[in-house]
Amino acid sequence: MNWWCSASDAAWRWEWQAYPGAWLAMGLLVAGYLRLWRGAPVPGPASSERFYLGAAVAAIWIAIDWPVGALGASYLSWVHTVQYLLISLIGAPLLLLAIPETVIRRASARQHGKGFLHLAAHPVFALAVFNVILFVTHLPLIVDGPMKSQLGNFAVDLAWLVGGLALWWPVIAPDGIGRISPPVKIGYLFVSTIPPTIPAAYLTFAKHPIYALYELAPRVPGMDVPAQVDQQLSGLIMKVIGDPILWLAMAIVFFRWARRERGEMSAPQPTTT
Amino acid sequence: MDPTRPRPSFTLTRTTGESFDFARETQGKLTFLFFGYTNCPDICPVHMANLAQVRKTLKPSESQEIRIVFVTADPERDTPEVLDTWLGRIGGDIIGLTGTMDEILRAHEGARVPPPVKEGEGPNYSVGHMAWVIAITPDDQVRLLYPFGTRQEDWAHDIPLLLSSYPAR
Repeated sequence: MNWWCSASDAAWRWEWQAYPGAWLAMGLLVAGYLRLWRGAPVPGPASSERFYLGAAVAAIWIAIDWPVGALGASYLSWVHTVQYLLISLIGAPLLLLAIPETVIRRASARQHGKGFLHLAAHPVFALAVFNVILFVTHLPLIVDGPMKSQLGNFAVDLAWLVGGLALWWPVIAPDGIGRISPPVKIGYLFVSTIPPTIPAAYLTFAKHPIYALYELAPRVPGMDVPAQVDQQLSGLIMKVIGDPILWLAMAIVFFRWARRERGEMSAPQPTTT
Repeated sequence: MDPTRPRPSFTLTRTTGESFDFARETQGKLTFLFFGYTNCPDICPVHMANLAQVRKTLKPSESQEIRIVFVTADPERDTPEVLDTWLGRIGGDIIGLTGTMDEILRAHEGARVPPPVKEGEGPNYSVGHMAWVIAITPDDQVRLLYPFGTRQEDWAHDIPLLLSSYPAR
């Protein structure tokens, strides 16, 4: 039994496989979240925070466990991209939203907490971390090399989570720790849609398959597409599904900002006599 | 391959039912000959799909000088209809050949390929077969064996070279 999804020469079978590492990772994630509440000034997560946590765990768990994790680790490049989206663009922001502001402020009050959270909220720093991870984890050197092992694939999944947390922190960080205003957040999210165009275009328009792993993988019954088409789908999914997630976030930031501005304008103005 | 050997000679049946004299029909063409079976879960569909895909990227003048031939190693299950459907899904104008088990074994012998070995019982048995693609250049010499793991970019690199380096006599 494998503890984490990894490359395999065996023909794909639609038979459930256990990956205990995925269960352990999810258990540790939830345990770590609950540990945040130790000594917190609030009794426990609000219903919205519980919802975000549940949704984050669901997105990440789907990405790393059978069948999505196994298909993406060894057989289909487009499923690999779906894993990336689930972890970096869906799981990571939901995980950040699950953490209440009071807990974040308590963490920032610690010795190195504020410095780190403040640095991480810098948009240039965040974009650099996210994009370096995005580019490195999509290099053939990595996909056809260390990613084929369980440990390597685990490292890639973890890197995507770290990259996702880095990308979303400047948008989600509370006032005082976050460094950018809502209009700048919208601009930041727009800019963050640009760099993934490079790997996406490369995957979509390459003349031949880039990754030996997926080119030479046994075909998946019921999902049998040529390696070239699989790779093109991968590139398209990165943009066609990845970008709208960021556009949705831009819309949410915009409408929240607009609502706040309206609220401030309609609030009673102090009068001087 | 050193030394080279002449283009193999055997006769089988196309999926259309016509007789196919391999040596005569492929003479003077760059030919990729593969022995496999349609129920193969890994090597056969990958090899054939990659060759078919590369063919699409070649110049028309190069593509028409190529023959890709798939000989079934499992004539019991690979009826002409099954073979035709399977190759149709892959595309790339691959010629599918079948025959009686004796004819298939003679074809293996003619190509100096180890005979197929039935592995397992029941309807879902597998077939042990050579995983290499035999490349026969236009000068009618068997020159190269491409192992499983050959990538599309390797084929795309080699095909024009094989066509230009060993022209038909």
